[in-house]
Amino acid sequence: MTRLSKAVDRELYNLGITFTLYHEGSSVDRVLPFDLIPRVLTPADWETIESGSIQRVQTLNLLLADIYGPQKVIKDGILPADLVFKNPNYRPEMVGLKVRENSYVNVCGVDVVRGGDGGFVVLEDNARSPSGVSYVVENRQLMRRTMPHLFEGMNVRPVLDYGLRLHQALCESAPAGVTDPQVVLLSPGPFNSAYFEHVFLAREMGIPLVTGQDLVVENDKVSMKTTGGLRDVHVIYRRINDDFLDPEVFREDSMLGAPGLMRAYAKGNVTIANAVGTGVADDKAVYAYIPRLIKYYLDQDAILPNVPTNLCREKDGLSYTLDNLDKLVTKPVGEAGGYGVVIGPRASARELEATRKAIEKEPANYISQPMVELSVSPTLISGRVEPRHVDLRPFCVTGKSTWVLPGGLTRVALKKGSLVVNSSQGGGSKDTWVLE
Amino acid sequence: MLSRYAENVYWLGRYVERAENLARLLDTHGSFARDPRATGDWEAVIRINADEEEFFSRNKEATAAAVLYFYLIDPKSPTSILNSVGYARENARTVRHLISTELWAHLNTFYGEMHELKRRDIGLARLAKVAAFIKTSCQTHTGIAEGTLYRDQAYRFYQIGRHIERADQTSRLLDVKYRQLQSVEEDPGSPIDISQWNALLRSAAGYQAYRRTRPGSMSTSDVARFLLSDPEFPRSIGFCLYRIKYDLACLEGEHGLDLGDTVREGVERVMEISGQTPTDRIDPKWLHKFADAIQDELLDLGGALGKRFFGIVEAAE
Repeated sequence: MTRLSKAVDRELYNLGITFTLYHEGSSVDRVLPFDLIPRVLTPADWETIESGSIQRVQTLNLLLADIYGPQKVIKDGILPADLVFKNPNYRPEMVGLKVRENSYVNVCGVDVVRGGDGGFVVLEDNARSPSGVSYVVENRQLMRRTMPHLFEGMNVRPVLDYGLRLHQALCESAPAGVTDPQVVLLSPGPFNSAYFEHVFLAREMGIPLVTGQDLVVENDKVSMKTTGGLRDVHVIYRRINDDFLDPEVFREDSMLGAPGLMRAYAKGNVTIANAVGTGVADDKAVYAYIPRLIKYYLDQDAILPNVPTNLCREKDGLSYTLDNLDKLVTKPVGEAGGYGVVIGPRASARELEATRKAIEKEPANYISQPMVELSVSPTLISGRVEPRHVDLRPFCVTGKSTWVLPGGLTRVALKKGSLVVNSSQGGGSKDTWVLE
Repeated sequence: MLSRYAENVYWLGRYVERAENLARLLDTHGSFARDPRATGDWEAVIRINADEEEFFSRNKEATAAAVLYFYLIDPKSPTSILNSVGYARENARTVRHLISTELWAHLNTFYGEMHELKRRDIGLARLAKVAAFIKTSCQTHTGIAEGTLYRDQAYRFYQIGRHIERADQTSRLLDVKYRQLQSVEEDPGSPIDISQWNALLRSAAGYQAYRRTRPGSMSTSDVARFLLSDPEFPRSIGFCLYRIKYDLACLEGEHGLDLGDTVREGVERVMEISGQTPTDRIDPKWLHKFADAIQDELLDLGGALGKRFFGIVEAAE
């Protein structure tokens, strides 16, 4: 197995299935380490994850339609107004703007872990531009090439149709009246760390991968520059942040977007997916309210519960957090990729002290959660099989309805005892099998 | 097709071709001048690439070792083969969804192998070996492209890039070698003369074809004419120009692109110059002027393509 594993690493490198790590001003192409032992989910496990993820996506979309529409959730006192309006990801430009099918979050990644009692809980929702789906598909293809016999007699549900499904959902979200929409993927370009994934998705969907400089907005319509002149664009699957979309509205210095894009969007001439302003719903503070929001909008109990979350913005949450820093996991609200996460029981006294100061300085910027004992999965480590902690990111694709890719990205913390699975911090990945 | 992609595949074709031709040039030069102390000789390579300023900003003397390092693996030299392959890879990375996985994976691996070359691998004694490796890798690339690239606009722009570069490089190779070889033509048939002409033809992989089509002749003028205008030899300038014209016609005929006047005139002009090859003795001074003119016109043609297809398209069109 070690021999096969080495061959796989070589293949990943040759194929350029890499992400770019930025560290102290220099960049390195790294292969995301791939573990050959698949993680297996039973049909019953999957049923819970799938229905729970769909429930959350529905709630997020209803929440966004409400926030940028009638704002009933705020008027009814369910969600504090300042959590919405003071949120840096709240976009007033979206107020009153119609989004087709109310499908704001076309692609959602729900990070799920299995706790000490064996039940699944949600760590966070990713409703902006969740990444990692390319690894799910590439991992499966690698497995099939490397150990084809392993699949014999196993009814593993397929993942290779992700591109088709996403394209279909994006077409369903096209501006009304467009029968054969031109979908494009908007990428920051080859220097982005996720560029490999952008290429992968454009290829799987058979659509052009564009950068801002390829797009032109005239008369509130978007088109792209081609060798034969300008061609209409109807749907933009964007992999750049809101901030960079349109220098006329957001960051003036952005070279990545297209001036005028928001005008075309407001006129309903182009669909942007995910919609602008979804970041207000996947915020780590809003996360704490999701179970209540599921009840509010759907009148259901959360199928996938949250990790109990203390909001340092609230007096009780703050004092509890500061009193139990050594037992809790603290996270800055605005960060992604595992940056700034402090795991109390494993932190040094000095780290805890620094965290305390940071929280006291800006309490609203922090949440804390009890330690979740992530489940482990057998993993090949230097020729031996050892337990390592894993999480799971299922991908939910929404057009008229929501479809969940059976499986998702299993990330594994390769360092012994580590709970941090992020690729930028020593994580790897596994093929994830959902059995029929 | 997106304008930017057209530009990327065009440069992909150019950079791989540039790498291959530079390997050929260095290889030939190495076999012409086995003496590592023959410094003046290696300066010629720098001159034909117009790299004097760049090279002498970091090197005192054009020794074989310094020139080989500069052109093979110097990461700071914009014209090194390492960088050409790197630029080709960057262009390929941008259009990865347009090209086959095999084409990408090979280029990625090739770049990795170039990256692993150290100074000790590229001395004069090992030049033939390293040049053969580069040539084979470029040809593998070409073969994968031939066997897997979808025949759409991208393929045409890729071919145009390749042949503009090849025509340009052949003109440079001829220019520099011709002056050196002319000096010994006064003593035709001497062993050194024949072996050097062999080397020149072999560097362009044209030796067998030349012998077969011109048995009995080994005059400098005939060899030059062969590389300038033989219509069947794929590395002759004439052949490359016909191929460019053909691919442009495909873009127009099959893909409905309007070439526009500047591109059309650009091709006509360079073909006209190429058609003026003398049928009798070719003078080195003429050849030098000819090579310069061809290079200028190819530069203009590249610029015209850039404006027409890669740059900003006016909304009215």
